[in-house]
Amino acid sequence: MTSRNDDALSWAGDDDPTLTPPIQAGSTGAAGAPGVENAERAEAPTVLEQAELAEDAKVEAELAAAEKASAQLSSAALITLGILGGVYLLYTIGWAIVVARTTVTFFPLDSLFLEICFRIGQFLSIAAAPLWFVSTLLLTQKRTWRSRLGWLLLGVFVLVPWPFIQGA
Amino acid sequence: MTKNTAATPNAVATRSTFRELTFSKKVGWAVALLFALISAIWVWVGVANLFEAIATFGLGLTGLSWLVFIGSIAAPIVTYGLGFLVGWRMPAWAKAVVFLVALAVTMVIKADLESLLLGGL
Repeated sequence: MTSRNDDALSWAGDDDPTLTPPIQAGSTGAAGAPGVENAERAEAPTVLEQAELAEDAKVEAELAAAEKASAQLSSAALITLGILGGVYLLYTIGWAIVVARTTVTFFPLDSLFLEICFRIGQFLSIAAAPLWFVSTLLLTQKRTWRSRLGWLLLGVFVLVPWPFIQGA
Repeated sequence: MTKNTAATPNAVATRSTFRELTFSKKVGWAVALLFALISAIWVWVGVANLFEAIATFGLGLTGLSWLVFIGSIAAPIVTYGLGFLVGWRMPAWAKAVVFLVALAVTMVIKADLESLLLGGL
């Protein structure tokens, strides 16, 4: 570190001790005024104070994180969720009507096993929309709002009841 | 199947076996296996339907019918694979939920395809 005396230019008031940073004061004016240095050191935070400050900062950060995690959904998000829930409900009704309307099966059910498979398949096609909705909300709890919305929108595209739309 | 278990830092050289996995990971694999079997049943049903159609109508099926048959066979496989990827880092119960949703989506896709062929009841 160079001292003020080595500088090419100097300004009036450069030697004002109140303007000098503590480090330079220590390097240049240490020999002249040991009392000043002691006063500076007394104002610096002690180890205990530093530890307390660090602890405070940590608690603040934890509090902020907890508040962020338990934050309420914004009203826009709530309305969007409500609309999507309504769409999924309509899809469920649509699939239920499709299943109820099915009188002739596409493939012959000539064994009990195929019959059971067919019934399970029918049940699952009705349950697909509510299953997707609930499990998306359940499994994306820790994700961002955008990813939740993305998965829900994907479901809206995948689960469209085409047989209902065709037959209606 | 053991190549996916390299979770420990130095497991690259020494491949860990199924026996060394934690209990929860074993349960996860059991869930995956269970739903693989269920999906396989649906693949088999699709294949049986395809053979039955070929036996009845011969190989002169229309392009749309081929699409429906192949799609019905491929749907369980594809959705199972996607469910596997989505549930990869999830706990076992979440894997089960994901696979169940994937199976339901399979049924939806199958119904969509069959409605194509029936041309709107």
